[in-house]
Amino acid sequence: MNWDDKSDADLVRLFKSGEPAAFDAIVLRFQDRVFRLACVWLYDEQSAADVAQEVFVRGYSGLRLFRFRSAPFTWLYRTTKNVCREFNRVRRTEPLDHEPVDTSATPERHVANYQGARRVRELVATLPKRQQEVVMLRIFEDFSVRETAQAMGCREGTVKALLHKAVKQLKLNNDGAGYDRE
Amino acid sequence: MMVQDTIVNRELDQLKRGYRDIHAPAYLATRIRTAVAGRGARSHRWIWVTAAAAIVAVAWLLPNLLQRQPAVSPGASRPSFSTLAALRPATPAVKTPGLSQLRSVTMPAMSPRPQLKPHPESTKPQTRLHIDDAYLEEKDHAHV
Repeated sequence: MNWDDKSDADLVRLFKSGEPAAFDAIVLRFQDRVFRLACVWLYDEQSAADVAQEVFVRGYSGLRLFRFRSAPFTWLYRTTKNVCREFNRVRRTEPLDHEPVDTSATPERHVANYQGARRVRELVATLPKRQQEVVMLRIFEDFSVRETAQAMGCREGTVKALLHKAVKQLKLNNDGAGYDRE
Repeated sequence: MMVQDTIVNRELDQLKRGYRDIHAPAYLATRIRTAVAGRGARSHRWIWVTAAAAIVAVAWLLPNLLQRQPAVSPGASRPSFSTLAALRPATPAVKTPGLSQLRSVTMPAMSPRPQLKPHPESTKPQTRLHIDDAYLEEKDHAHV
């Protein structure tokens, strides 16, 4: 079966109807997005991989009960956010020396991932939490306003207002940084 | 202002490209598959084991609990409302007499009404002329 032709909802529907291969397709389709979000929120790649694994393990039981009130990735996004929060809470109590180091990824890929995540993190770190989330979803993840509202559990108008404020703040930051690009 | 917008947009585009270039490691899908398989099998086993343990525990505990129940002092346990509702006041063993029985009861004859003996002078006290002198004596015991 060609899974690429199927929509996200179709994949979940097939998985719910007892097609185990559909779950593999879901993992392959969403793993990069989940991993990216976790990279930005967790500061290191190994933890991001652990989080992505936990998200999909939860998804295996959670998506069976999915009711299609929102897009499947909205559900995965919320789960990712929760798992990252739990992960950060646990990690705060652990010493940093015990963090595992990922040796399987190539050094180039590791550096690219690290740089990309670090720059996005630095950018959004200047914003309040809600604005960070809007920027991540609306700008970096290309969510629609509606999907962003569903993922954040607020109204579409709130998303628009938050995005407006965030972009304004980013412009101010740009001014303050003293860019001279003309 | 326009220049600022352009700079910010360009900056964001660049960051977006960098962000989109982040890819999950190749081993992740295999790792997820293994974790899901392990977690799924383990969770099913856990459910069955727990259910079996619960049934065994209930089957073992229930007879013990039922046997112990009479040993509990009556004062400690409260009667339920249904028990209280079932209680009725004890009825007397004597049978209520019927109406016909009541009518047939014979009462003993009453003694004859006592009659005053006629006074030698007059039967009416107010017409008697003889008054005892003792009544006319002044009584001063109230002033003592």
